[in-house]
Amino acid sequence: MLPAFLPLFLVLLLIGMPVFFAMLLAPGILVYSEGMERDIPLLFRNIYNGLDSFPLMAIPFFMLAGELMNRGGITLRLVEFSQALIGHVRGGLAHVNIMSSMLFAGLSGSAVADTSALGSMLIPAMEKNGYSRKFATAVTAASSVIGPIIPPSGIMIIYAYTMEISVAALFAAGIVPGVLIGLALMLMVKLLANKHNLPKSGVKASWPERGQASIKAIPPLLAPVIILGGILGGVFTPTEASAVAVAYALVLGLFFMRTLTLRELPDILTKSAISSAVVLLLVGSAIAFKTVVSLSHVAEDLAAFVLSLTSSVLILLFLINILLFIVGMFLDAGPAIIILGPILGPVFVSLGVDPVHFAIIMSVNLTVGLATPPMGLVLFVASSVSGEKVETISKAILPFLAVEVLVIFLITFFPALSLTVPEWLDLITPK
Amino acid sequence: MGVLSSLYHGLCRVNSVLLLGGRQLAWMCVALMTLIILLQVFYRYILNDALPWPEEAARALMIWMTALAAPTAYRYGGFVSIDMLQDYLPPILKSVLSITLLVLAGVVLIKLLELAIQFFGRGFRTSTASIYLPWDPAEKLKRAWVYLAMPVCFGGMLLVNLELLLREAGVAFGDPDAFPAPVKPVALSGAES
Repeated sequence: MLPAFLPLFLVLLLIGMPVFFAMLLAPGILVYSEGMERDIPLLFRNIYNGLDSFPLMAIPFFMLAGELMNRGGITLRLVEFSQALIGHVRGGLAHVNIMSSMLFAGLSGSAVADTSALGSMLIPAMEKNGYSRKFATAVTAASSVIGPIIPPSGIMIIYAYTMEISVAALFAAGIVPGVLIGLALMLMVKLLANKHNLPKSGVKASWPERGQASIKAIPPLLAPVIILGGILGGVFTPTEASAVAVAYALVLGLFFMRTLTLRELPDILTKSAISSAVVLLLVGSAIAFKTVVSLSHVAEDLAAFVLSLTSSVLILLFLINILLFIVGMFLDAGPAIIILGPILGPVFVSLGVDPVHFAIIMSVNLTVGLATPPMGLVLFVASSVSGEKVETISKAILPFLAVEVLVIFLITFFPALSLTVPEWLDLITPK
Repeated sequence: MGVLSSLYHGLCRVNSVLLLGGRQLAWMCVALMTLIILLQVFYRYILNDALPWPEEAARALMIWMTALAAPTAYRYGGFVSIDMLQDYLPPILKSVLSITLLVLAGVVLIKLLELAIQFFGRGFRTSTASIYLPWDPAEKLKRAWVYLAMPVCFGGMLLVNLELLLREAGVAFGDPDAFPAPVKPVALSGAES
């Protein structure tokens, strides 16, 4: 009877019950029906324990740091820097958009923040330069998924915490896949630029101009150096690094660039408190959910079932990518990771897939899902930023999604792409 | 329907005040959390002398921040759900489904509140590991004062659930104009997960 909680959970999700409630109601009903009421306080205790976590504190801090950097004019400097370097080639502003996303990803862990920050600046600029609005919006949406892949990353913190693996290892493992997605998108822009005769954005910047843009970009670009250098070098814990990132963004915005005022802070802090509260409660419910998953042996049953389909790990990884891609179309990356991590993670680890490698497959796939129609959150944000219809963006984004899917398969079938950096840094042991 | 409308507006007003207070305290929690962790970093890396209490204090503040901000998130649709099926249903069925889901969520919240109150009560038996009372340095803070965040969180969410339920019922079976949605606070415009 107990495994039946999973179908019940899916039904509740599909009829529109918020994930937080579905994650508690489905296991709760079945624990009651099995006469195991004594375990209910244990489920509650696990929600609390899930919240009472020092590593998880990095989530509100990174959200806050991203918001402060966004309001503090840091985005503008990153765009100017990218423009000076590559703005002059054909399709230049599209390349600038992607490169800015990669740089922004080193500061923020959210695709939505990336879309709204870069989209509001670059979509009008691209339109003015002769790009169609749908193309500009599609490039923005497609490149913003790099945000949670290149560290820091909100969903990786969640995955690492719920699945008990190292945040630093996951962060390190995300670097190459994130850069790969950026480069693949740039390659696609180059192909489309030649085919559709995309505009050039103007004269090539001179070396002194490039030097000036680079100097102006140093303060924001130092932020990822401090954050990642601190975490990967073992100087700070991710939580401490995230608090340092907040302080750094505050100092830049308030005193260095003077684009932030103290009066704006309560609103920014409130916004990050509200966004974090939702994520933290979800993680708490996921820890309770995970308890019932292990009680029900559903992961073992699922492993037995998938192994009955085929014993080839490669085919299973292929199938799981399709499943994740479909899930990503309908559900945000964070909740999807929270729901599927405890179910799928142990299955693939027992099949010999490295836990960090599997975490990256899940994270990248579900993050790309943020930009896939019909329910990709990033598409909706891009639509509200640009005023373009979601249906139109969905069509224009297809070539970019195609290369992103290609990268997902590369990451899946070449584990070294994810695992080499954390192995170099001694964050995981080579097999 | 007049009674329902009065009930809804009364509850809406109460919730607006409570949630505003919650948000004000929540941002202060975030600010304090940040300061405390920065203090920890300063002591550990600059003075080479780690303080014992910042980690536990910051965790307690994070729990309170979550509890104080969650009802606002719930009120303004911040809790993630898949609404696709509802978009395809005829209005009346959609309302019935929404009401059913709200009732189910209400049941979960009642149970959570009950467990949270018991949890709070048990918290008086134990103390925090490293947070001493400022006015009595020999006495540690009881865990109950951290645990209290849980009944506050689920109690607040239950009040919001009741408001959403009254509104849904009013819109479905009465005059939709008599049940306007509460105005979104400025800090929430464009909030993202």
